[in-house]
Parts: sequence; structure tokens; C-alpha cells
Amino acid sequence: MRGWYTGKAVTALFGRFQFHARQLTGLAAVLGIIACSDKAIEAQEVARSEYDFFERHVRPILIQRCEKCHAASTSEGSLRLDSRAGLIQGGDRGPGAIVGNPNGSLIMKALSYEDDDLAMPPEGKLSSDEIGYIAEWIASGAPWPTKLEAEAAAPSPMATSELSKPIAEHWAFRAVQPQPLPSVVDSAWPINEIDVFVLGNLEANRIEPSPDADPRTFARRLFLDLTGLPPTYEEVEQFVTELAASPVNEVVDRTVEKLLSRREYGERWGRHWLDVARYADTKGYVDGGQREYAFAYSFRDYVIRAFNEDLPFDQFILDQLSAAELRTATDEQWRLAGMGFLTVGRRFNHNPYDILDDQIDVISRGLQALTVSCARCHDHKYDPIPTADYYSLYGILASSFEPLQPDLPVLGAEPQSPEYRDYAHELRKRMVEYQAEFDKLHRQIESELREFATDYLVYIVKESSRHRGAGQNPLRTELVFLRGPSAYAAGAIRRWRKFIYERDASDPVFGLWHSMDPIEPAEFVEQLEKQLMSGAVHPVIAAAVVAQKPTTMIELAQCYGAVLERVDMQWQQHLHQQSNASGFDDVALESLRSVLYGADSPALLSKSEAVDCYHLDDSTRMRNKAGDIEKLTLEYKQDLPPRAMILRDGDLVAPMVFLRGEHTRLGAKVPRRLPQLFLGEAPREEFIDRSGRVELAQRIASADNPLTARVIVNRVWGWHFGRPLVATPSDFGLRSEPPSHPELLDYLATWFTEHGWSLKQLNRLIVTSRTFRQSSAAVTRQMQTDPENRLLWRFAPRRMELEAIRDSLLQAGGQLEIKSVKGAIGFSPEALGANCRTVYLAIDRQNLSNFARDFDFPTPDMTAPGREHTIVPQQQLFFLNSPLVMEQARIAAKAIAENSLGKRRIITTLFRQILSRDPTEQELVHAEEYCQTLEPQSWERLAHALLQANEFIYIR
Amino acid sequence: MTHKMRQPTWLNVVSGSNHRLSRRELLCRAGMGLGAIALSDLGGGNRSTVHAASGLNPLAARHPHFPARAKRVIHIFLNGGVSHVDTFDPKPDLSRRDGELLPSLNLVTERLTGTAMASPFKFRSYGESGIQVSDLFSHIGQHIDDVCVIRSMVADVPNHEPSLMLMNCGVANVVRPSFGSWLTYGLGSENENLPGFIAMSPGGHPVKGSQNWQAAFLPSVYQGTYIDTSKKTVEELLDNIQNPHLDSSSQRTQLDFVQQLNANFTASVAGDAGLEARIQSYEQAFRMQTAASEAFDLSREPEYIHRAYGSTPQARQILIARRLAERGVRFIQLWHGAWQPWDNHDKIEENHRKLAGECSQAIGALLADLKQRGLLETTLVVIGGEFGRTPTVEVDNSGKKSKLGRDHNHYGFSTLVAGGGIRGGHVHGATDEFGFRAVQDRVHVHDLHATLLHLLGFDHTRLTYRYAGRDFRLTDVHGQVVHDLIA
Repeated sequence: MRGWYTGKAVTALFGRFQFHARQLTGLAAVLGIIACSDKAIEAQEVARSEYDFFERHVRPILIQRCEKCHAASTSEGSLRLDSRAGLIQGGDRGPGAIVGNPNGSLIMKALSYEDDDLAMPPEGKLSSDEIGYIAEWIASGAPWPTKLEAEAAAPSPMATSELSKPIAEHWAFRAVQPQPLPSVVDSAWPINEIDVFVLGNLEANRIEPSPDADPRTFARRLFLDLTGLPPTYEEVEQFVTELAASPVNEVVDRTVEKLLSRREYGERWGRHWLDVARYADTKGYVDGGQREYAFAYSFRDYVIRAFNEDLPFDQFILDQLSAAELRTATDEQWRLAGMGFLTVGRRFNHNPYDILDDQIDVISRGLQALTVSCARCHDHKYDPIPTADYYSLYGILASSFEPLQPDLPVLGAEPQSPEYRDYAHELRKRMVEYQAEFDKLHRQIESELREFATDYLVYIVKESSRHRGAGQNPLRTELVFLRGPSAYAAGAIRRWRKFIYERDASDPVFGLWHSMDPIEPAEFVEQLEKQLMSGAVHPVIAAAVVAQKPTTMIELAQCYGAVLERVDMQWQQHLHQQSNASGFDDVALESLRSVLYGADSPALLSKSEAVDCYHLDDSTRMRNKAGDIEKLTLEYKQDLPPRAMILRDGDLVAPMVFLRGEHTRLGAKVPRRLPQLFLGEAPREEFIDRSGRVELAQRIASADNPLTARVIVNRVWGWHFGRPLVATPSDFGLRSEPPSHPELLDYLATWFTEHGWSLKQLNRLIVTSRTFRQSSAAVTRQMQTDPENRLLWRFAPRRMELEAIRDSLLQAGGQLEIKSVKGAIGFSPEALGANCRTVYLAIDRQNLSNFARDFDFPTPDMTAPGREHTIVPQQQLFFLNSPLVMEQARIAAKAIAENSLGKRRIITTLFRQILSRDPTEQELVHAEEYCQTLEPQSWERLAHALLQANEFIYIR
Repeated sequence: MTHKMRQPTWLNVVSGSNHRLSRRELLCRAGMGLGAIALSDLGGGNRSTVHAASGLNPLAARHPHFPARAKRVIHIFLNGGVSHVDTFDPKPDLSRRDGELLPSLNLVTERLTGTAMASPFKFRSYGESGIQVSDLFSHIGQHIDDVCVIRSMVADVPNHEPSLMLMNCGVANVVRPSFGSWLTYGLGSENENLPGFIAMSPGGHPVKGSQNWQAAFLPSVYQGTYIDTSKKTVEELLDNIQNPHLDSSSQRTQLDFVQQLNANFTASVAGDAGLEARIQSYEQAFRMQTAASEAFDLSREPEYIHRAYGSTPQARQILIARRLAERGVRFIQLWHGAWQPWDNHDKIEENHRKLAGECSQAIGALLADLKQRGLLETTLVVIGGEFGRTPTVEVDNSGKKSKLGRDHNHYGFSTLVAGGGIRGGHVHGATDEFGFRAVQDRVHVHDLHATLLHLLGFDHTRLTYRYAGRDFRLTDVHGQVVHDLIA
């Protein structure tokens, strides 16, 4: 290996090169020098030979050993080594190389394999020759042929073109525009404004709308759409009868009014929202503690009630994000349960980072149709959402905490029974025990960080192979098992590491440390003496060094540790004598004390920071302890009033970027504030004295937010028609397809906010439109030009959702009871047969029932943009063989056969009961034929057959 | 995109006419294949890059990107983390240093470990390749010339949950589809009378439960079907597989009547592909009752096969796996048992011996059986855990007491792959002299995924699904095909 160049030599070398202007600026910044040349020709020759060196020795290494992971397509750690600019700019860990200074260059550190955490390339260390070449190349200014560099450095076209698009131009980020009605030729067709937009579009495409659906079909559609239940035969016939007496629009209006006021409306439409809110009654997989939520159903009930009372949608949002702060009046108490929106998600085995990520996801995709979670690990690839904004939002949510169960607000009155009092007493007792344990552990961790300062400091030194000896377990010291990082906790080591490395050689206490850290072992003693002579060393540290005579960095760390531990003891004694002391008078002592007790001391922990230092065993123990509280509640849950699963503002978290989303790797500090994209052009406020969650809610629930109204209006449209206007309801980003009817979308969004954010009014507008009233029949010509029905030339038929299927089955068997249900009904397979609506069945996100899975229930592990409508044989096996279907068939047939006379009469009644209509003459004949072969079980078989019919599970 | 026809071909037949369809006509139509029907509304605008993955029947068989060596996967998951230095990665240096501190620092794992611990198991050379395998898996040893032993596997963290997610879903900390879901999404099923992706575990779920076979944002039909193989009868194993009251012929008569109703209804609505699909799906479900019952009925196997596999619950499910592979199921995942049986933090000798005893013979029998039936060529058999274990002994929190077990180790471990175009009798990569860290030709889990997908005919960067505005894939932004593993 050839020797290092000194700084002076490098400066001289630079003077001889001709650099591209851009490089020059970069270099000048790095080196703090201005290099230029007036001997261009000579420089070119030199450059050529230097390029030869690069091409011969360096480039092959870069290509073979580095670019697999660090090039345009991959760029691990955000680092690219396929260009000079990439190398210099570096990645997550900072600049990759300081040109001219291999010693100070990160890449050399990585190649040296000194650091366990940063040893590159991962498949094996380079040879010492190879390392030498790279060092020499960096020392000589890292020359890299410009043309090649330019090619490699060209960013991928997608990345630039999409990002450079001005934010304001994208349809979804533009303010909602009031839309004039288009003119249409067939002015007789439209009933309301929706129809004008739809017809305008159809006419422009020379497609005719379909005729109105026949009244019976339409009645069925209306009932299923608004209540999730088919009409009874009598209800259908009443609709038809009324049509004979009144104008059709009047009859439809009347029927819609009736349906919107039914309890079943909220049960149907609330369930749509529960898909967005990824509602379930369990936490998913957890190791330790309880896996069931005792009170998730309070959120479900809140949503159903909000829909039935037509709570304005902006208020609905405010409840869900910040009811604990905003709904303090007694009559608003029920709205606290809305915060379940944030708390009923998966718990990711208690991993706080994943829980917060899920909250960010449900807020941003659910309410704003923005995929902010993409920015957890890297800047969003397409939308203007930088990682910094993700962590700004993270800071807002991380500054809230979930109160322990006994502190969750009880909804309604608490029972006065002695049993309840005993329960409440025991619950409180368990909570007090938990708190005591929690606080004790908190104090213990803080004191460990001081008492074992030596061990932490020595560990940090040993992280570098330059300083450490062999054969030791770095986490196990003689005294203590250091608090290292784990999958769920960042650990305490990083707190000390961060504290030290945020300081430099000018620090009054750790200055000496930083002066000595880069020194090679051979020169250690000599350098240490020089430093002591300089007089800049902290006097107490200097005295300890003189006394101990450390010869290695480890021994120096031991000196530091001993000093700090001694100061800690002194301070404890001082406090003993003078309990109100706030510090030492002695400046030198005080500067040491503040390392352990100052505002930025690594040993000063907030509650959440203490949790972040738990050992695995601590986590398990505390989790089980918290689980004991919840266990008691689960045992008594049938008799308990519901509680609202709220969050409250807690310790204010100063967020830092997690590099690549890894909580153990801290990046830059970011302010706690809203993502810019949530605000449009408006300036951003940093939240200093509060979390910012209320402001977040208010910003989303604002009429001038370009996304909120568009997003919900689009979802609602999709829930009616099976296909939303924007095909990706949870992603309105730059890569989403534009709306099929942009003017209609904006018209509805405006209309919605102007009509008090009323979902009932919006639903009324849609279902009374002519568009919604069209027949579902396919027309050959239209099927050829627009098979997907994007232009809305018909009402596209679709299979019902599983809730409507099961509810219809129970209704056909006469078993369904419309009633409010306390709690969530059962996790067992038998619960499927319970006589309540499907929305009240418990959802175990870890073990979704086969029924739910087979019928496309969306995974409740994340917010669902919509539902699939697949057709798979398991569904048909359910209809062929399942106990639920067979049982409803049996009950329906039994009741009817007992009360009816004559075959034809019985067949007709079964048709009415199950399909809400009379059989055709032909069907009657076929049914008779079928039944003849089957006595005496025939009615049950016939009922079963009717339940299997396509007609039974289609909305058309 | 030849499968994607805009015009449903049946439309002209039915549209406008109200004639009844005979059963024969229905069955003939079923024979036309559902792939011919265009999709109008599968999912919220998601578009796949896989040919015709958007057919209304999402399980219709499809072609991959290029001709494939393998058609299916059997993944034998030794969950909890089988120790590589006790099975497939012999380390004589570990024996020499038994009880001593390793010269370099112990890598940070989940718990505390101490000195080197020699493997209590004997290693022997097997086959022409002479690859060494410990006596725990002598039955695999006997077929080692068909097996590629990857000794340089690497994962990201030493914890079960994230490592299980990484091994199954390609990412540790966010909800993503599992390998089996991706594969079923990409290839469909060769046997539409059986689920395309089946996960089996005797006695209950492994750690992370159904997340290990989740479809996540893919349509839920691609999720693995879980079967508890501690149960034995077909009715217990499969939901709704038989009608409690109707025999096959009465059911057929009933279904004929239903299909008559359906045909009339379709004619009246005229124009929804889903209605037609459901008519055909009924026929399929009807056939499935027989086909699935038959597939899971081990009493149909001759005595010598039962003897070859053995009679443990693990052996039983391995034998079921062979029957399912024969019948064209795409992805069969076999978990050793509930929770994480291989997680032997203590008493590894006793525990590993017991566990290997439950499955080694059956795995050997499976390899032989597949080969004898000519299925091994097209079936990838993957054997391994979510990570390996430390060469150093685990100690308790006092740091003093040995637990005679090993901690988790994601820095280096072994995974075995056989069949399906893999290079048999080959050792790929190596760990350091003690087996702590993979040092040579490292294979990250992403690379394993990329390579398996390659053998299954997919460019792992092109098997994607658009979700939340981005094209997702199993290997995220990682993964390199390891050509050295391929025959």
C-alpha cells in the first residue's frame, strides 16, 4: 500500500486538474479551497493518466464489489457508487468520501471492516491492495471521467419528471373548483345535477344511457344499497302499488327517506367506513399480554350511530383524531369512542414504530388518499412527500399515549352493583401496581445509565475494532447487561453514543475524547501527553488521566467513566445534605454533573424513552403486567359499560428521521408539524407546546382542504356503484389514474361541503339520480365500447358483500333480529349462526373466519381501499354444504310448509320469502318437477336451491 | 395478453334469448375455460403485469414470464430456527474451541451468549458429493446429491417475528403478501378443484399465525388456506367439503335446478361476467367435493408408503404435501408445529434430536418419492428456518449459567433446496470458521426469493402488483438471482 498523502500534497495535486464547474463547487465546499488551473492541456494529460489508474484499479472494484447494491436501480442506504457525485454526496450515513482525505472518508471506514455495523462489502473484506488503491484514488482527488459520470449520474426519468411537476397542477392537489353544469341534448333524462354530468359525458361519447330498471328490481337495489338487506316481498309490492298512485320520483323520494331513517342504514354504511378504519376486535399477534380488545366495539357503535344521526363528516373526522381534546361536554361523551379510528388497528406485537406507522397510514390514506407511509424509509418516489414530513407527522402522533384501561373514559353510567364496585376496585389496584412497577423500572434505567457510565463508554469505544481487544462479549460487562437495541427498542447505548458524537474536540468535557478517538494505538501515549500539555483538557479529567495513565482508548474511557461515577456519588451526598440543591457551585464539577443530569443528558428519560431502553425481559414482564389489567376486564366484559379507546397528549416527542425506517439509526431532527402536502401553499407552523394532533384534525376536516371532500365523495360513489370515480380511492397521488368524471367529482365535493358535510344528503342525491336508476342489462354495442361501464351507461350488477349475504340468509330464514348488540359476538365458528347482523360479529384479525376470507373480507391489518368481488368455488361450497345455509333453508321451509296449502302455494311463498318475488309460470313448473323427485324433504331442498341462486346474492 | 378478451364470448349465445340451458351445455361452457372471460371489476383499479391475472377466475392457470424449471413449491419450515452448526454446516473449529471464548467478539443477538459450544451431533459425508450432514438429518443425507445446501444465508435481525415475515413476505415490518400468495397470483392453480396455496401445521398456528401466509393487498383468494393436520378426517380438515344430508346424486339434481334458475337470471340481466362465472364455479365446487376429499385421504396410500414416511403428524402432512403436489397445488407450506418448536434456547441436544426425529425420515421419504414419481424435477423443496442459531452457548441474564442451548443467529445460517432445476449435491457459500457469520457468497433472503422465483419462471422485478400507487414485489427493491444455485 502506498502512503497517505498529506493535506498539503492534496492541495497541490488539485491545482493541476481541470474540473467541471459543478464538481469544483462541490469540492470547494468540501475542502474549503478554491482550485483552478490555467494549464488546461497539461492538466488533461495528467488527468488521462489518473483516469487510467481509476479505470485499471478502482473502477473494476466499484463495479464488481459495490455497484450491485449501490447503483441507480438499487442504491442501498441511499448511497450510489456509480458516480463521483454519488460517492461524495453519500447516503444515509453522510458523505461517502471527503475528496483528498481518505482517512476522514466514510468509505474507507467501511472498507476497513473496523466497525461491526458498517463493514463493506458485506460478502467479504477487500484485499489490502484493493483498499490501498481506493485510498490513493480518493487522496488524489477521486478523478472520474466526466462522460461516464454524466451517464451514470443521470437520474431515472420517472424520478425527475414526476417530482418536478408543480404540486399545484395535479388534479387532486388543486383546490376544488365549482363546476358549471354541461349542456345536454336530451334534457328530459336528467333528474338531478349528477345526471347532467353523466349524460354530458355519455353524449360526448355517443352512448345512450340505459332505460330505468323495472320497479321490482329497482326496489331491491335501493333496499340493499341503503340498508344491506333485501326488501321483503310485501315491501316490493308496496313500492309497486305506490307507483300506480304517485309520480315515480315522489315514490322513490319517500322510500329513500324511509330507508335512510332505519337503524339498518347506519349498520350498512358504518360497515363501509369500518373497512377504511381497519376495524377489528383483536390486536393481531402479540407475545405477552392480552390479544383481545375489550372495547373495540365502542368504536363500531360510534360509527353506526354517527351515520344514523348523520353527524357531519367534518365533525366525524375531528372526533376520530382528537375527540379527547375536543369533545369535553357531557352530551358529546359518546363521541370520544371515535378515537378508536387511531387505536383499533393491529398492534404489531407492541412495536411502537409499526403502530405509529399504521396510524399515519390510516390517516393519510384513509382521509387524504395520500400514501405517506411510503416516506417512512425514503422520500416518496412519486409524490411530494419527503421522509422529513413523515417524521414530522410521526412526532405529532408519537406525542400521544394510550391511557391504561382504567383511565379510559366510561361511556354512559357505571353500574352501582357491588360486583361492579369490586371489579373497579381490583382494576384500579392492578393499575397502581403496574404504575409502581413502571416508575421503578424507569428510575432504575436512569440510574443504570449514570452508575454504569464506564461500561457504556467502554462499549462505545469497543464498537470500533481499532480500539478493542478480543474475546469479550460487548453487551455483558462485569457488572451489568447493557441496554442494547432490539426489534422493539432502540436501547440506551445509542443515547450515550449520540451524546458523545454530537460533541467535538472543542467540548469542555469530551474534547479530549474526540482528540484521542482517531489516534492510532501506537501513537496514543505520545498524543495524549501533547493534549494534556495543551491545557485545554477539563481539569478533573486531566487529573484522572495523570493519575491513571491510560495507554489505550478503552482505558481513557474508563477514566471518563470513573470521573462521572464519582461525580454522581458526590452529587448524591450533596443532595443528602442539601436536598434543594440545583447544582454544584464549582464550574468544573457542574459541567460534569450536567453530563449526567443536564437537560440533554443521556440519563434523563421521558416515559417513552425509558420504554425504549427496555431489555426484552422488561418488555415481556411489563406487557404481562399490563395484560393482567386487561385480563380482568375481559373476564367481566359482558357486564361492563363500554369505554372509549382514546389517546391523550403525553410527552412531547422531538422527532428525528429514522434512516431507512430503522429506529436504531437516527438521522436529522425534524420539527413537529404537518406535512406540506396537507397544507398546499400555506406556511407551516411548528408545534412547540402541544402535539399538533388537534391541528392535524382541523386541517383535514377543512372545507378548503382539496383532498378531504373529494376523497369521501369518491368513496361514497364507489360504495353505491361498485366502481368509484377515481379508481384508487386511497391514492390520489401523482401516479393515480385521473377521475373518470373530474367535473362531477368536483361538483359533488363542493355540493357536499356546502350541504353541511351531510352523508345522508349526499346518499339521497345519488340514489335519487337517474344514473342510479338505470337498468343493469347489458347492451351489446355499449359492452363493446365501454365494457367496464366507466361512462355509467348502466347500473353494473355485482355480487353482494359478505355482510349482506349473511344478513340476507338470516332474513330468508326469518332469523334475523334488528337490534343493537352489546359487545362483539363471539370468536367461535358457531357465532356465524347468531341471529344478529353481521356487522356485530367479532373480527379476529389474526384468525379471520373462512367465511370472511372466502367472501373477500378485506384484511383488517391496514386501511382497505375497497373490496374485491371474486368468484371462487369455496364460496359455492359454502352455499352447497354449510350448516348456516342448510339451517336457514330448513327453518324457512318448515314455517311455510306448516302454514300453506297446496304445492303451488308453497312454492310461491318460498319464492316470496327468499327472492322477494313471485315465480314465473315456467319456474313454477320446474320447481314442481324438481320437488316431485324429492318427497318428503322437498321443501327444504327447494328452499336450499333458492338460496343458492345467483339472484339471491346479486345487487343489480 | 392473449387471455384478455374484451368481448365475453358467451354474450352472443345468451343475450336476448330466453332459452333454458341443459346441463350438458353448461358443462361444455365450463370447458371453455374462465380465462376467456374479461374482467370488469376485480379490485379498485389494480392492474397486474402478469398475463391475464385479471381474469374473473383468479385461480386460472397462467404462464410465467419465461419457461420455468419448477412449477410448484413445498416449503418445509423448521420454525423457531434450526441450528445450522448442528445439522448442515459442520464446524470442527467449534469442537476444538469448545468452552472457550471466541477470538472475536460475539455478535449481538437477541440474548446473551458465552463461550463456543461444540455440536453434540456427529457429521458424516453422504452421496457422491460427499456433503457432510449431521446424524440428525441422516435421511436427508441419503438424498444429498439432489440437494443444494446454502450455507451462507443471511437475514436482517435476530428476532422471530421480523425474520418470519422476511422469510415469508420479503419484508420484516410492514404488511405484505407472502411468497405463496405471490406465486398463486402469478401462476394461478393447476388444479382448480383445490386451493392454490395451502399451509399446514399440526396443532395450531406458528408464531405470527396467518400473517405467514397472508395475501395482504393481493385479492384474498391468494391467501394460504390453513389446515390443522393434527386432525385426521377430511371433514375435519376442510370446511364445507361434504353435505351432511344430500348424497351426490340428489345434490346433482338440486344443482341442475339451481343452474336452471341461474341461466334464466343471467339471460334477464344479460351481461355480467360474474354471473356466468358463478354458474361455472358451482360446477367446480361440486367436483371439488370429490377431488379435495380424495387428495387429503391418506388411507388411499399403500402400506409401504406409510412405512417409508412414518407416522408422526409431521410425516402425515409431508405425505399429504406429496399428494397435493401431484394434484397441482402451487405452494404447500409445512410448519413443524404450533408456535416455534425449533427455538431451542436451552437443551439443544435433547430438543433438536426429538424434533429431527419427528420429520427427518419423512423428508427423506418425500425426496425419494417425488423423484421416483418424476415430480422432483418440477417441484422445489425448500427446507429451513427463519434463521439459524449461535455457535456460542446461551447464558442466562446473570451471564454465568449456561443454558445448553443456542440463541438466534441471522448473520449466517443454512437453507436447503432440492428439485425444480436446483443444483443438487452442491454446497453454496460458507460461514466463518465457527459458523457465526456468513462470509463467502452470502445469500440474503431476498436473493433466495429472487432465485426461487427465477426457477418458477419469473423475473422477480417484474412480478408486481399495483397498490397504493406503487408497484410492489416480493423482493421489494432487493434481490439478485444466485445462478450458482441453479443446475
